[in-house]
Amino acid sequence: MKRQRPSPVVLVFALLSAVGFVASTWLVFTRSPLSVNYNADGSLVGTSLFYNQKIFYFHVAHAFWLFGSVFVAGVASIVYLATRNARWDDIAIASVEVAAAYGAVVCVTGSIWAKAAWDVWWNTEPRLTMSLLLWLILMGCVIVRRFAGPSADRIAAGMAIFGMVGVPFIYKMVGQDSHPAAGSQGVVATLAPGMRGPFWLAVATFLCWFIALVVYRVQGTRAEREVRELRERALDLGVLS
Amino acid sequence: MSVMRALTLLLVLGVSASVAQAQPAGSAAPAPAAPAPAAPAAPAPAPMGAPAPAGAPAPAADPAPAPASAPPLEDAIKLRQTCVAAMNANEGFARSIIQKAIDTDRVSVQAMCTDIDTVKTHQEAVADVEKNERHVIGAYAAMWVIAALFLLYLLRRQQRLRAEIDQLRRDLDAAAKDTKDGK
Repeated sequence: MKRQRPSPVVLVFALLSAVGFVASTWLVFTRSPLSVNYNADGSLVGTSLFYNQKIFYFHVAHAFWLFGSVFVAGVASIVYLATRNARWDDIAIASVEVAAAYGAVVCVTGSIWAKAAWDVWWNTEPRLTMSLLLWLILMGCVIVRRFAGPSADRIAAGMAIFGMVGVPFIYKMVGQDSHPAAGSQGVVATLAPGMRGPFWLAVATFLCWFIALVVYRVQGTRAEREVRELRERALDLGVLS
Repeated sequence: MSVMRALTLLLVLGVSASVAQAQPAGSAAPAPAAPAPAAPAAPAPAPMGAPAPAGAPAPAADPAPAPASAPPLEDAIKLRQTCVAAMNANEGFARSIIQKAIDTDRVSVQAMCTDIDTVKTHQEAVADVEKNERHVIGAYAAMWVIAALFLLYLLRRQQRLRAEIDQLRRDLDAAAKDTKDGK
């Protein structure tokens, strides 16, 4: 069997993400300060996160690219439905699968962090519920794509667009519940100087990882299309029954 | 003998504490050698850091507020002698006094231990929050596991597709060759 090598783009971005992961982990655990807040009178704020804030660097970075990949999937699905160009379908399904993996990381690490900071594994506040719904839509998209038959591509494209529409609502809900605020006065915009470097390095790392995974997955979807075409030819020739 | 020695030690400590309580708190003035006649139970209040004038009688209208339970030194010595004599005379009385002292000490030790446990629990809770490695390690491990599972899924799927493509190509080539040979 001929072994297919990953494309150079995949290798370069996988290497970049590996280096970035090592560097950001080292910075997070050796250079970034603990999250400790004080009142004006010098007393300790009870909601200080201390060591468990280290989860923030990768939890939020994954959330960024979860939203990014859902947006890519939604736009690619719109273009695919408009043009029926299979390349856009490849990008859409690859982005959806990577988004489902990133969404799983966001939900699981968020749940563990909630247990550490709030002493609950999960609560049914709007943001968490909408995030879980988004992940379920993505998983539904993957399952439909795999099992729904000939029209799976169009159904999955519609679901990806539906998921993309939900992202701004999730973003808007930040700060209206237990989560810290987003936007210009949000937790990312007002990070302590020692935390900014590791955080943005983690964001860049998971962008590289996202690109590597999507490009590799696009290669996989092209192989799937090749299998479909070969099967049709084999059926025509009577090789397959 | 050892019991009597312990008892004597306790009494000496008690007298010392009584004498210490009779001193005005926060005053750096030394205790006068001879108390003023008008106020023999307690020394007169002196200005901070200044010794009381020798021989000057303390104002009778403004006696120093002395603790009610603190007897003067001579009275304490007399009380101690009386107590020792009573205990030597009555063994049961001596035992009851010693038992009372032991019980009091046990209660205070128990209270102290409770305080130590509470403080220790609080310190452990603070340390647990400040250095919560368990959840951080759990979150990072979950991230790695999900990433590894996803990568494994992609790799195995890609391998299966390549194998299927190769098999189909071989079958199609064989079918095309058979057609060419006129079979």
